[in-house]
Amino acid sequence: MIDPEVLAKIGRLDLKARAIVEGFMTGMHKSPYKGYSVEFAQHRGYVPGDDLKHIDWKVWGKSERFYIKQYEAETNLVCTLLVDSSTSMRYVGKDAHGKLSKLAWAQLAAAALTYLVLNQSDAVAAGTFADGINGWVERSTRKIHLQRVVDLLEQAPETKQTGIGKALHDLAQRVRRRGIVMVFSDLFDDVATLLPGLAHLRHGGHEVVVVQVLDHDELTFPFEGMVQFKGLEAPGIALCHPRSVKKAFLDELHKHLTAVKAACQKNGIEYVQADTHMPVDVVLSAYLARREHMAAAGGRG
Amino acid sequence: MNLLAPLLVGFTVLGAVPIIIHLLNRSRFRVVEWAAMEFLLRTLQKNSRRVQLRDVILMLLRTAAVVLVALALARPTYAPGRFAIGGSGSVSAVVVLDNSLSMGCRDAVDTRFDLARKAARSAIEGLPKGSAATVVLMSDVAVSEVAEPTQDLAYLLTALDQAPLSDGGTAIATGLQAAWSILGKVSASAREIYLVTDLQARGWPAADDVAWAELVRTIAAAKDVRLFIADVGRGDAAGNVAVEKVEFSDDLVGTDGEATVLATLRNHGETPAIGVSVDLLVDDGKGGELRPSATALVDELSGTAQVRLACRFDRGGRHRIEVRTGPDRLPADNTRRVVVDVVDKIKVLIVDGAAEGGVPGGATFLRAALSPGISMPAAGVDASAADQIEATVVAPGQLAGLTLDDFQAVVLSDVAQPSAAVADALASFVAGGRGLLIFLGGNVQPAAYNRILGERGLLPGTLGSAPRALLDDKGVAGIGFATADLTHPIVAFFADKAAQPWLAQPRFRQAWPLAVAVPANGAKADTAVVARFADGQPAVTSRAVGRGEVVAFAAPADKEWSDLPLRPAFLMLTRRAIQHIALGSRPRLTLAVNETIVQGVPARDAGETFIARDPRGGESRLVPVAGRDGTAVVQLSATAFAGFYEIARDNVTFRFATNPPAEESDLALLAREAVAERLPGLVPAWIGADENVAVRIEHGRTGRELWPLLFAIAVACLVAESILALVWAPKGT
Repeated sequence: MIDPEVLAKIGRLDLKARAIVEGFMTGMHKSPYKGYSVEFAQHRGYVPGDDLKHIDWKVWGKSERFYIKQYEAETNLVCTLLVDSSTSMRYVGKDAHGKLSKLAWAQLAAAALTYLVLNQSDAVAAGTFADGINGWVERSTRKIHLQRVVDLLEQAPETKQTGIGKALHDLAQRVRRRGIVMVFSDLFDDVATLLPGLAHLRHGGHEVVVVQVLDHDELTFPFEGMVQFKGLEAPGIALCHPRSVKKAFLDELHKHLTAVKAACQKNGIEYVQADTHMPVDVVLSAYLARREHMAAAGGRG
Repeated sequence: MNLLAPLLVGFTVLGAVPIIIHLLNRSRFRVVEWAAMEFLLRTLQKNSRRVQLRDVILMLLRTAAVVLVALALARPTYAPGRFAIGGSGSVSAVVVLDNSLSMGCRDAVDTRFDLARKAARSAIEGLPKGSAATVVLMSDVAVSEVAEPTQDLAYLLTALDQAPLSDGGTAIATGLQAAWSILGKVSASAREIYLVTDLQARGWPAADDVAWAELVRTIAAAKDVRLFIADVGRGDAAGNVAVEKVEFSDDLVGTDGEATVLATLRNHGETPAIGVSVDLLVDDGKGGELRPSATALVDELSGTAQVRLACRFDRGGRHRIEVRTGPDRLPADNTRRVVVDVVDKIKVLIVDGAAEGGVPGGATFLRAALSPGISMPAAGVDASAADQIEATVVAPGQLAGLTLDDFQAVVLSDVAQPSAAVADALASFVAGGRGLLIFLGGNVQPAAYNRILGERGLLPGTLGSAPRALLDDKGVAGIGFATADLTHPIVAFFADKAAQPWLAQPRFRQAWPLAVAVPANGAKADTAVVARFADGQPAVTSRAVGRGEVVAFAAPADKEWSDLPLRPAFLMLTRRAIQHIALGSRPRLTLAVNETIVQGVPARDAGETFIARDPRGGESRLVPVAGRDGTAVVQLSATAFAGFYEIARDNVTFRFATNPPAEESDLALLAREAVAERLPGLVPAWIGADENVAVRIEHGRTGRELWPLLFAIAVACLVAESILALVWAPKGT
């Protein structure tokens, strides 16, 4: 699922949170909060010199052997990835890169980001949604968490309804710990329902990034001849000459995109538009580079 | 409306192809499962009507283009009021061929008449099968060789080839009237008039001419009458110099001296003509050829110029003269001809009333005034040869024994009372074209004059019962002539202010009152007041009697009542009066073409045959008709050609001249727009000089072909469709 080439291209980039998050990362993160808690990760055999307080006495009681507990380091960055798995995301245009549907593109992007975050020992939580969150994996920093995320993404159920607003509200309640929340969706929903969900997330103190994944066909409407359009998600059939309505359709879509962008800006949410015509790595690279540049500018300021 | 290729109209069904394609396209589509369906549905909801309208417009444009091209293939034509399939049927046609003088103009290689004949021939040859036609030759008269349209077109073409160019003016109304007179009686379904002319402006009636307007209205109201005008005129009036007028400076031309010919030239062009030569030619009076007599050169001619040319005549009789100028593109108006009666001697018989108790001297004064050479012969001079007027004095009693025909005029000088027989002789004498001059003095018996002469029409007015005294404003005896209103030829000389003092000199103490009858209701008067006294009463009166004239002086020619005989005016008045009446009502020897020549002949010649010869060598036979007054008249009306005519019998030859109307030399053409204004309701089809007449007539007959228009509209539809499709296509894709 993960293109190693894609991974190789983004692996060098750091994902740095723009907003102030809880906790710290050794050498890379700083946390304003004191204290920390750890999570047990795994056992290893006792080696003389290890700190005795990390000996797992329960295991000694059972096995009369000495094992040291290894813990996951608690990080400041929790990256929550939410991918829209509604039916509308399954559209594949003729110009889609690698013939990826919007969903596949979003899945690939989410997986790549999971790898990147885990690689830098940050935590990733992931979920899928349609008319609500229909799949979820809790955050983890473990490398093997990548597979769990991938499995989640691949097994996302197809649902004809989209309810982004509900999903965002659900998410806001699930994710307590502040971090980055990235939502991958085509956002083909009423902006009025989208806005409160986004606002809820921001209210939780999260840095929210909305990646609107659109197919190139949706952005250019390139159809010729007589075409009967059947709704993938929304009901309806329309027989028309696409050329004759092209401009009007694109104007209508553009109005929606502008409204979405405005809603995001209003709530301090970062908005990224992704065209599936572009390879995932190109989009992510550009995005991450921009974040690094902005973080550097902000640090210097 | 007509379809020249009706079978091809079936291709218009191809107009259904765009519709069929549209329907097929709608049935052939691909299916796309679309994620952004809401946006698409919203778009369609907002724009469906506009989109459908655009689709309909584009489809209509495509369909229209196909239909129009198919219709153009069928070659539709449009002629108001006509509908036919596959061409035109037979027609009845009149070709009005302008053969006026201006058609002899050579604008290029051919004359306008050559072009006109070709056009007429083409029109006749292009007639549909079964058609009938005739030709009307139009100048200022209309002549038709064939009275009704004939289907024998070969004969018509022969007549056309032989049609001559006339020297007449142009009268479009005459030609059109003649054409309508023929066509109006024809009950054909299609009637056509082909007017072949140079559009000379002067030939067209004004738009407000009532008779013309009525003619046009009548023709326009008639069904199925088409007018075609073949315009063969070109150029302008530039380069046309014409001899406009030729006349003698004196009314009476005699052998007694040099005669002066006044020739008026006119340059009808804008550019001055340089070095215009003018030649005068005269004949010998015996029918011999004309010989050059004088020549002049006009250095620069702009507008008009009068040239004086001198000549002498050795003998009396009718002489032919010609004035010629140099060649130009219209030669026919470069020569003008005149026939003049040159007077050798005027024989005058003076009846001296003094022989019967009148005051002596009147006849003597008269003879001295009329024949000064005889009265006062100079040593070594042949007196009879010197005087143009040969006066003979007789007593009244000698009149009965004389043959009045030997004289041109008789003068009654204070004769008391002419006898009835004398009066009868005088009446016949005057009616035959001679003159009677009466001087009324103290010897005159007024009642006898009123009865004897007056009843025979030999008095210009009624004589009063007694002479009256002429007193001026202060009551002093003696008044003169009035010097106003001197229009009569006898006194016209005194209209010149330099000559008026002579007329004002004589003083009259007494005169006979003459009541001159004024005709009622504006009828033409045969009496006239030649001159008045200063108190307004008639002094000299005249009366036309038959072909002659009577002139009466209200005072005698002696010194008893006035000092007139002692004044220079007496010489002028008496000589001019004699010259005026001596030759009587002379026949007009110089006429316009197409005018009738009238020549009086002795009554004994009535019923005899005279031979008439025209300038082109044609001959015809004429028979004189007896008149009322014991005379006979021979008439020749076939005078379409300019030149000299002769009417002859035995050893007697009468000569005449005809000339074209001077206005015909104005070659200015009328613009087609101006012609159209003169044809309200009658829209002509125009044929230019360079166009194929038969083809243009066929177009005019079937109507204007519409295929170029339809094709242009079809192209416009396709262009509009392309542009609209481009404009309505989405941008930035």
